Amino acid sequence: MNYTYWYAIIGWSSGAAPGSAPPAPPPAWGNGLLESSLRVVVEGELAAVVSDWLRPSIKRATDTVDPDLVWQHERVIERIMASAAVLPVRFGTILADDERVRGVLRQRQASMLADLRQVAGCVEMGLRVLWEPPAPGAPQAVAGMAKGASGAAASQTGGAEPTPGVRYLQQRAAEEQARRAVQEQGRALANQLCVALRGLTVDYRQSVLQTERMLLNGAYLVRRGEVDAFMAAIERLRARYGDLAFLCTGPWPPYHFVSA
Amino acid sequence: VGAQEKEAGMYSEQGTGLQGQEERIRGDLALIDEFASEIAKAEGVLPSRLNADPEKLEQGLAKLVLAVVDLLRRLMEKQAIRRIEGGSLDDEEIERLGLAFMRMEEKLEEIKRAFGLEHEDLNLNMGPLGDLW
Repeated sequence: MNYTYWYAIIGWSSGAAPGSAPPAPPPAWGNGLLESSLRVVVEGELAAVVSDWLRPSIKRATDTVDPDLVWQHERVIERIMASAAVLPVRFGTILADDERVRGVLRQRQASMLADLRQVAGCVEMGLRVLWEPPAPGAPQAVAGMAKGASGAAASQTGGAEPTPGVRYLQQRAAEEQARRAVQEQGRALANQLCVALRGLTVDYRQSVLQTERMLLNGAYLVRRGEVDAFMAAIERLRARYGDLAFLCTGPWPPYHFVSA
Repeated sequence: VGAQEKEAGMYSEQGTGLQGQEERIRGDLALIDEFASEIAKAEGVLPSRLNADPEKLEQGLAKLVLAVVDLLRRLMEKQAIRRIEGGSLDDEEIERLGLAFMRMEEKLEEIKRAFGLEHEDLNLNMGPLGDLW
């Protein structure tokens, strides 16, 4: 049995009467994974670019995926993108048959058409920024603890140690405050970077402090003609923020700008 | 290919959408391993599937359960700290809560050791919400 491997979604204006031969993809799109032939599955004003696939999953016994396959998937999308607005589909998306693909297109027609209009003429750029989170300052007396730790505060002046439970929570509260202060600093810094890029992007998806060191992890929708300007802006940020490490990738198909 | 040639390549091919793999990565490439490890962390520590090897399966389940319990402990601890900061607890209550949290943490440490889990193992990735901690 054949499954349907899905690469991309494009807009489709078809004058063909129902029941006529299925539309053929242009030769410029080349072949799909493992040189399989591409097909087009049309539903309303949308078309899915697919090929046959023998298994219900991309992976075999192991959890690792062949990077070559990922690049083959990517290249198919990029060849289509050369001449049309594309919504890329995540690598490894396999459905039972074409009818299921049609079902998805039918169900999400409106949002997919809106996404297609938005990404037209744009590419995705990725930006990751690492920072060294500042070492938390010396644990300060926690302001809010004043009342709660009144026993402890009194005991500090009076000489007696705070009781173990109070001491534990005091320490936790101090750590929590230090953590919040570092986060606040990170957010402010990330915001400065975002503001510097805002004028060059049509849309963006970004996470701040996804891990302690990853200050910013963002995907930016950039008009093709502004990709150079976007990269130049990042070079300027790199020069200005010498303490931060920047990794800029792309251009890519707009993977992050397809509504779930 | 030298770094400069790469750089030249990526600009000249701009817009074709058919650039090579390396040409699409720019910036502080000397730190590429650190980026890779942070990206891996950000993308999730939980395995995409449970290993069917019985011993590992048990560890995987223990990890998941402990991570959730640890999450609850942390949330409750934060809540307690907020109430202390808000001044709504008296000293005796603070002491009682503090001791309870202390013992809970000790207990969790014990169980973690029993299953051979590290501190980092219990960090759940919350997708777009970022790390649990």
